[in-house]
This record gives sequence, structure tokens and C-alpha cells, in this order.
Amino acid sequence: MREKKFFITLFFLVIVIIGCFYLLSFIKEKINLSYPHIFMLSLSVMLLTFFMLLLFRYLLILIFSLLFHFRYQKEFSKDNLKKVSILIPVYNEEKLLATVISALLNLDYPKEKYEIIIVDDGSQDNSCEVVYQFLEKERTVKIKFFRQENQGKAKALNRAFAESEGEIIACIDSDCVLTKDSLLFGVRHFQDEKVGAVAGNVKIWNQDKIFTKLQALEYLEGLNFTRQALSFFNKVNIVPGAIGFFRREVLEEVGLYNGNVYAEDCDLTLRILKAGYKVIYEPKAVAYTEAPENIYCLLTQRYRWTRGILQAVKKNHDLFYYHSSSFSLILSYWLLIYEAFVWPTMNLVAHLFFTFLALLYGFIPFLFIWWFSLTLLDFSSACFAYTSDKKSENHTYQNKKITFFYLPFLVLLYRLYYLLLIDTIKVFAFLEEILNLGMSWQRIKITGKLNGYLIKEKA
Amino acid sequence: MSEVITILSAIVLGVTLITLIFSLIIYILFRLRANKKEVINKEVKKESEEEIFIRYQPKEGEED
Repeated sequence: MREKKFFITLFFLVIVIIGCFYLLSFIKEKINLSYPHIFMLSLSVMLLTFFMLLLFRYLLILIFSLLFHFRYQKEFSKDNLKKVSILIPVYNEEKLLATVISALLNLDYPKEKYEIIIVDDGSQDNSCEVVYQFLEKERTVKIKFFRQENQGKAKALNRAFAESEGEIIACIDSDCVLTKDSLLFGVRHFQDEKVGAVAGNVKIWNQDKIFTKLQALEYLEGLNFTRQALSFFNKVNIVPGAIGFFRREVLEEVGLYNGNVYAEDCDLTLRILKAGYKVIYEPKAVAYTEAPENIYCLLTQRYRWTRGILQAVKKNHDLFYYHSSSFSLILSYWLLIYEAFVWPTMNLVAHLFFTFLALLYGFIPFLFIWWFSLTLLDFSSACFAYTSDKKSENHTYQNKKITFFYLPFLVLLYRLYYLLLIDTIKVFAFLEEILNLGMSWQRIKITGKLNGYLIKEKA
Repeated sequence: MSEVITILSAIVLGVTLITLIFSLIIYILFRLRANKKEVINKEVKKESEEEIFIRYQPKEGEED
């Protein structure tokens, strides 16, 4: 069956190549253009097509995000709350671990209805001592602590799952702090039996530099904005590792985390979607995290994300032609590919092409028009994402966050510098994954600024 | 108006060029560092595997 599909694809590919070649020679004969000119013409047509596609994508996401907000239910019953197990894999997190656990112990959720399971994945720092301090203290929330040799995040999470008892599994990163009501908001959706997973809202805490503000804008406009639109169809394609909620039976049905994929969260989400469950987004289930404060750390993170997503996409390639799945699922899968590889590649190609035209022929306005139209699109969606995020906010203790006054200035920098940088690295990561070059998990430096969360909360 | 557009276009072109070159340099640095780390990781893995082997190696006269 698979070979048949491969040969059919190959057959169509050959026909398309022959067709293009024939069209090229036809144009050359009729219009009397040289090959470099035809190449430039076809590249311009291609970029224009992609731009239209992008415009369409922005419009659709805007419409469905708006519909998501209209449908969003603010009120819910706090009776019959399910038992939750919060899983935290830990590896060298001594700087933030105390704050992470303290925030979990103070959640607005019945204390007897949740437990915290920490698995130390062979830390070499004082992470274990930090956990022992909490174990010695008197408390009303159950904490289970396990240690293992370093085997990776996926295996640590799977070990934590094996030791858990809750009906609902909440997975969080050990450098993420949950707000008081995040558990309540995340878990409420599981009243619907068809909900398999809920994605939380990841926000950046250390927004005290322009560089981290740009990342906050990306989270707001790029990641959470898209999740809102996909949530309208119940087809969110990534439940972030930083804050995600899962139904226990669903995890048992689709299998746990896969250690062979660097974006284990994306792989798990795609498997849940394939099994036919709803995956939704809850903007009020907030987890604060620290963003990388230097370019090298940021690019390392994005490189890992891109390769991880490509690995997950390859592993779940049956979604390309998954007959029993709905159209919205296939659309969600294609959107994942488009956002992670297609669009970054096209953006980089456009920049190189227009720069080439400007330097060689002096056609500078093309590059400007390309940049300006994309910046306008970014600005409109950033305004929407900003106002909708502000509406969903139910706490005020965030550090220095993006203000509306800053937004136009940030959007200018965002498109001109930040996204081009990120897209270039995404393209390199994409090429390396195709070439199957080796990679290793590289840690991101943590400053410990998130420790300020507890002080703000008390204030 | 056209002069303003030309100046703005030149700024965009300048920043684009700098960013492209900068990201290329960053990528090369990243690749070089990643290669170094991979070698170290491989060595560490090899060592730990040996350790496990020694720990679980059955003693003489003991059943496997």
C-alpha cells in the first residue's frame, strides 16, 4: 500500500517537472525572455502566491480566534473536581525548583485532590536537596520523589506517570511556575468525555529586555494566537511541555512520551488527535517561564524545536492522507508543517531574492514592500492577540510586560530583525534534519529571575 | 515621497543584509559548538555504559 502511494506521488512529481520544463521552453519561445529572467519571473510569481497564502492564513486565524473568544465559557462548576497528578521531570534545576514547588503547593485546588510527582533525571547540582527540604516540611499536598540515572525528559515523564494515581495528568517543565488557578481552568474541560488533552498558556516572565519582549510577542502573536484558532476546531497541534493536561486513559491508549523525538510534546499531541480526541487550548491556565536572554541560547532552543517538530511530523506522516480523520485535523497537521518549515523557507528565499535584486539591479523598493506588508499583517494580529490576551488575564502580578505603547516599535523590530534570524535558523535546522546530522539536547541558561514570582504574588 | 521610500528601503536593505550575515555566523558557531558537544556526549555515554557493565557483571561462582 505504502509503495503504491510512493509511486503515485513520484509519477505526479515527474509529470509536474516535465510540465514545468515544457512551460519554460514555451514561455522562452513566445515571450523571448532569457532563462535568468524567466527564473526571476517564476520566483516572483511563487513569492506572490505564498504571500497570498499567508494573507489567507492570517485572515482565517483572525476569524477563528475571534470565534474561539465568542464561544469561550467563563463560568464553570467547581463541584466533582477530578484527581490530578502533576508530573515534573527535573534535571539540574536548583535555581528555580523551590519556586516551582512552592507555587504548586499553593494552587487554588482542593489539596487532597492533587499530588506532585517529581522525577530527578540524574541531576548533578543540588536539585535533590531542594526537593528533600520540601519533603521534610509539614504539608497538606502529597509529594512523591524519585531519582534515576540520566535517561532524558521523556523517560523521566514516563516514570512519573507510572507512579501517578490521578485521573488527569498535568505535565509541567521544571522551569515553569503555574499561576494559582491554572489547574482549575485546565482541568475543567475534562468534564467533556471527548477531550483528550488541554494546552495551557505559556507566558514569558523576564520581559525586562527588548530581546525577551520580542520573544513574548512571538508567544503572544505566533504561538498562542494560532492555538486559539485551532482550538475552535478542537484540533490544537502542540500541547506545550511547559503546561499540558491529559486524560489518563487517553495516555494509556495512545502510548506515553517517545524518547526518540526531540519535540515529544508535539508527537504525543498528534497521536492523541489521530485517536479522535479533542485537544483544546485554555488561555487562563497560565505557566510563566524564563525566556533565553542571549541570541545563542534562543537559537539553540529554536533549532531543537524545529528539528523536533520535523521528527514528529515524519513519525506521524500518515496524517498526510489519513482517510478516517476530519478535514480540520489534516488542516491542523498541514499548518504545523507550514509554520515550521514552509513559511520560514519562503521568507528567507524572499529576503535573499529581493536583496539580490536590490544589490544587482537597484530595485530596493521590492524588499521594502515585502517587509512593510508583512509588518502590517503582524501589527494587526499583534493588536488582536494583545487585547484578547489582556481580556483573559485574571492576575496582575506579571513583571514588566509588553504595553500597548511599545507594540508598534516591537513589531517593527520583530519582522525586520527577530523573525529573519529565527527563520534562518529554522531553515538550517530543517536541512540538517533532512541530512540526518547528529544533534544533542543543549540546555538553556536560567537566570533565576522567575524566583521573583512569589514576591509579586505575596505583594 | 519617493525619496522617503528610498531611504526607508535602504534602511530595510541594510538591516536585512546585516541580519542575514549575522545569522549565518551564529549558525556556523552553533554547529561548531554542537559538534564539540556531540563528541563529549559520546565519550560520557561510553564511560557510563562501561560503569554499568562493571556494576552488573556477575561475580565468579555467582549465577548470571
